[in-house]
Amino acid sequence: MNEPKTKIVEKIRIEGDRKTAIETGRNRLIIAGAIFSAAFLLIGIRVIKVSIFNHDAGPRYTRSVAKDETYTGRADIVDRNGVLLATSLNTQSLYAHPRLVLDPEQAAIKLKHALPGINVEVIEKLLRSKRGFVYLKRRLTPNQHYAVNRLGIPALYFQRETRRIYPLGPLAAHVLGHTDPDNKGLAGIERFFDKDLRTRQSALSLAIDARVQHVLEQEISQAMRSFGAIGGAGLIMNVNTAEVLAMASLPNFDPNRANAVPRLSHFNKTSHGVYEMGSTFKIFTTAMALELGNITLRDGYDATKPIRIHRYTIRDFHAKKRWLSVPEIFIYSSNIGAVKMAQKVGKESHKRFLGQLGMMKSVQIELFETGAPIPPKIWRDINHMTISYGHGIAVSPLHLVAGVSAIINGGIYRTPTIIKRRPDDPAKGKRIVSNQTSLKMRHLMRLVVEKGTGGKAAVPGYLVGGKTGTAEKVSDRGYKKKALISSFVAAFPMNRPQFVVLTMLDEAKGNKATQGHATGGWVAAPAAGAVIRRIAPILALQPIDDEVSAARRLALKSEINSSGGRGIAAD
Amino acid sequence: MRRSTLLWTVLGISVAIGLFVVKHAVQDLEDRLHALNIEIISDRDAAQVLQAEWSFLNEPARLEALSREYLGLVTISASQTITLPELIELIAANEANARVAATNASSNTPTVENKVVNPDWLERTLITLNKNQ
Repeated sequence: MNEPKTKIVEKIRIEGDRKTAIETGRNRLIIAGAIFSAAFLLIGIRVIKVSIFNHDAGPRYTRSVAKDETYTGRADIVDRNGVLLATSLNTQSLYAHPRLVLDPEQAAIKLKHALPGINVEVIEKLLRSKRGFVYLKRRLTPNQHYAVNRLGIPALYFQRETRRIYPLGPLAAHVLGHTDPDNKGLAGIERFFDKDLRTRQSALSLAIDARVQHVLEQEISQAMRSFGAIGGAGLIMNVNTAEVLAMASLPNFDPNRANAVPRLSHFNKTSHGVYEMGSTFKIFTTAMALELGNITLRDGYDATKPIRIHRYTIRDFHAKKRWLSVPEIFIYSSNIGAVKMAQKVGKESHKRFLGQLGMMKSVQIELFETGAPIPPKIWRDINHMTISYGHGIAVSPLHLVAGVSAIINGGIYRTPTIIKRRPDDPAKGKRIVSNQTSLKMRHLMRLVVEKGTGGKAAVPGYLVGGKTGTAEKVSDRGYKKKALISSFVAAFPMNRPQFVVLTMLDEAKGNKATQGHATGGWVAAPAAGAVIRRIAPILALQPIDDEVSAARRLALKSEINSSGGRGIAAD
Repeated sequence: MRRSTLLWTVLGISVAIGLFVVKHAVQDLEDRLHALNIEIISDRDAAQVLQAEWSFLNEPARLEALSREYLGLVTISASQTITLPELIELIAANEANARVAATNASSNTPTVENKVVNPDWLERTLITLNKNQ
């Protein structure tokens, strides 16, 4: 084995100089090889790193849109039938990083073409500023967005921003409220449910019915025009669930441009304003007398002479100057009779009864705009007497309607709500009066429309009942004679009440048609009747009056004979 | 020794290629997901705009004006509504009347006044009314 090896060794034996040269070459080769393999190794590591651990390539920008994620901004508000009342639309806002803008002057001039109406100097100043971020224009229209994008100015960027839109304009503006430019709720439902609306993924369903709301607003503004009233309020409530179907406060405003109108019209007269309601309070006085005062509908009081106490005189507006039965006191709205009924019950019980009806504290409805009632500080005899016919205590129209609902729905008080109740979630309530008292009150309220002061609210087929109210407005010194709050609180159908309707006019003036009268029976009752005539078919109530039923059959019979039964009468 | 080296080399290379292919496939899918997300968001925005527009066009005051102008509709009065039992009763009475009239009149051609309600129409109406109740 050694022989060939030595042979080879012998063959490649090289002499001194050459040997060193070859060794140098070999060393260089090794170094070069090492460098190359190191480089390849580096590249290899880098390739693996890039391929597998892709963290250097920036954050992953994709994420899947969740299935149930329906809203990008503030949640929608819908009415009880799903009609959209408030929604959020995505718009683009233009902003800039001024430090990165190359030519502020040119950029401003270019922008002027894309966004007519902007101030070039202001924009240029903004672009020259040292700040890192400036808004140039918020909430561009889609066309403006496109135009700015086409300019291709570097350092200008868009930010998605949502804008609150109220598609139905002024409808139910006081209930909905409005938001500021940063979509923060400033009033109404928007304010009360501000946090909830920011986070919730489904629409918020109100108890409001847009159609009913429209009818109420229209009829009240019609009445305001007819009688030159400076304001109006209206409320429609389901007596059994205490859901508010419509709440109107006029004059109203468009929440899309809430700042374009005086702050005064933002005031919600229906829930926030407190007024001395006048004779509508006799509903409570009479119910209280029937419940606690041990009187019956057959009893009565002498109303011949006005009551004198201290320096006041209490007299009747529709004075009959004779003995009046309890139903007569109610339907002719006798103040004297009401005082005597309240006295039968006593001061303390009177106070307690009104307290139970919620007349002593704000209504716990889903609005921050609720007015605290103004009861007398000390209940003296005179207060006890005047409150029996609705003077000396100021409550909001919402208080009144909630109280009347409790009296006629069988005697249960429920806290009003603007939020739609689930059918399987009956509203809890507390009993105020017995079922018998409630039945008697329904009869009395029906009588007011049939025979008394509320005749103008009658609607054939729907058994309307109600009570008129007229109060002089309180001024700094006593009462203003000529400034009235005229109201009518109606309920229908009186055999089984479903809804309460309140119409109220502020400083209505009588006209020729009303023979100069501006009382509740003349100005507010017709509006309530008109509202009921229009909303009853919408609310799918079946007409019940027998007389009407007979007439209806006759009408339909002749119609079937003439047109084959397909005709729709359009008179 | 050589065989195993070869095997490892082939294995290494194929894993590397596989990794590359998968990597690119993922990237493509991600791009597609991104595009789809953008599409979903823009569709959603568009749907929201359309919903707002629908609500805007359904404004009660506007509908009222339109229906008054083009349909001639007015508020329903109590005399224009009828219950189903009443309707059936009425139809029956009407039919009986027509029969009497037909037998009384000796002529074979029924007059327009005596024409009975189209039974097909009634059938369909009652079915829909029953469904709605």
